[in-house]
Amino acid sequence: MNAIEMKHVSKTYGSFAIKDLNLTLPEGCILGLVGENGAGKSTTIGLLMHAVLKEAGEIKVLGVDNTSKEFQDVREDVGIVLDEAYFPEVLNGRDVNKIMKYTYKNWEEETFFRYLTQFGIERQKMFKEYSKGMKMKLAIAVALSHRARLLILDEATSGLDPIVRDEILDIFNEFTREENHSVLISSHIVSDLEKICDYVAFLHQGTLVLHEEKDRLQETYGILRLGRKEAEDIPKEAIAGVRDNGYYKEMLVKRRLLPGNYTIERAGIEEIILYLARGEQI
Amino acid sequence: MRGLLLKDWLVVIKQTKVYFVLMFVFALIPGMGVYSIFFGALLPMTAFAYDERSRWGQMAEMMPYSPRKVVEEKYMFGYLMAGGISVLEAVIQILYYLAGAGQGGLAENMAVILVSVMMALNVMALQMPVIFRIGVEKSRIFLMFVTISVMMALQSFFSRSVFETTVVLPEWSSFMLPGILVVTLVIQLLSRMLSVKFCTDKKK
Repeated sequence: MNAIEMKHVSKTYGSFAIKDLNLTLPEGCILGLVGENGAGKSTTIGLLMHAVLKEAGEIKVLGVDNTSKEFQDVREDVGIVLDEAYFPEVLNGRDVNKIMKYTYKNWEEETFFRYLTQFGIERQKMFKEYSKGMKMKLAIAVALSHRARLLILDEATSGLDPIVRDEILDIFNEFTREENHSVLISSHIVSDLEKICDYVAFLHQGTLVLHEEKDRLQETYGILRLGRKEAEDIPKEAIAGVRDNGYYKEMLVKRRLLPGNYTIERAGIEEIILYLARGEQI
Repeated sequence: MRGLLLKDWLVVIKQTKVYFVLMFVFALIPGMGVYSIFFGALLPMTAFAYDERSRWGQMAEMMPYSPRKVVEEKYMFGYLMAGGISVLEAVIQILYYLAGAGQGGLAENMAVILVSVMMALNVMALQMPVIFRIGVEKSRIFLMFVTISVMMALQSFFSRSVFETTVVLPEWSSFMLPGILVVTLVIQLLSRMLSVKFCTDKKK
């Protein structure tokens, strides 16, 4: 089963539009949704949770149409972390626990307090006294404490220092050890996604430019550096993006469209995305 | 809904302790109880303001809360707050009466409390759809206008018709309480329907 299924989804906001979006996340996997600011990542998450209304297409979350009445129950199984934690500033960890206990049927108090301890969050400290990192950690603790089967994280690691980011990425990774647990994580910090994702989707100006298994992406694309004259021999269909350095050209190429005599280097996900986003302008 | 009620209660009680003290003081002063009941019915607006400040709504719409639940919780919070203050006011009036310090008859005072709580809830019902439509910040002037107008009208009506014994009550006065109750129920129902619609329409 797919944890997330979006078929031909469209949404327009003035001049910005999500066009014919097709996105799937197989159960048990982590999908990284990458895109520049304003690419439509948060809108996509809003569409998934039916907080934003689609104009066309079909959306299923954990096998349930998100416009159906049953979707209200599905929300119980989805842990959400938004780009900021929007808790009222006078609440503390204990208050959040009490509120969530009456919000989620499967709320696990012990798990929540265990995460608070692990994250070094004082239970009595008011939310307004938290650092940005602590706020995000509180939101993550909430998302992980109601036996969610799907985690949706919208820029959950942005604004955190590298050590905390690493710690949190490990937790997300651990979450998917249970085979029916899945994660959708949106970020513009591609290195984070590269560490944990099974699939990478790249949203550029509202359009899904790629949606591929991470390993396959690296099998498909590679980096080729050639002199300007030699570069002219490379078939255009094999080139996904070019950077002209003056003396030589660095190209993102499709490996299978080139003969084996070229030395093609491994491309990082960030490189692939940058090339695909900016094509020949890079 | 209990989670949302608890959240509003915790936020309001932590932020507006002075407000609660004032409500209690007003409830103690004869003739001023109406104001404390109105303050109680205004507490959902305070909760709205803190929600807006923390952008709680963005998170709540991802949680297992339908727009209907979100709306019903705010009305319920108002009913509980205004209802709670009214009970307190009634108890204070009874104690005054037992101590021989009450103004007017006990039955009249209870009727005033009942009419006040219904009017306060109707003011709340007039404000709620506007808040769900345009937010508490933009609707502030409307909220103040409605609240003050109704409170002044009530104060004026009661001071003339109830406490001044020389005024002869009209024949229809015995139907006033049930009449206001019916009108209140209709207003509450319409207001809730409108609020649910506006809250749902917020999804773009």
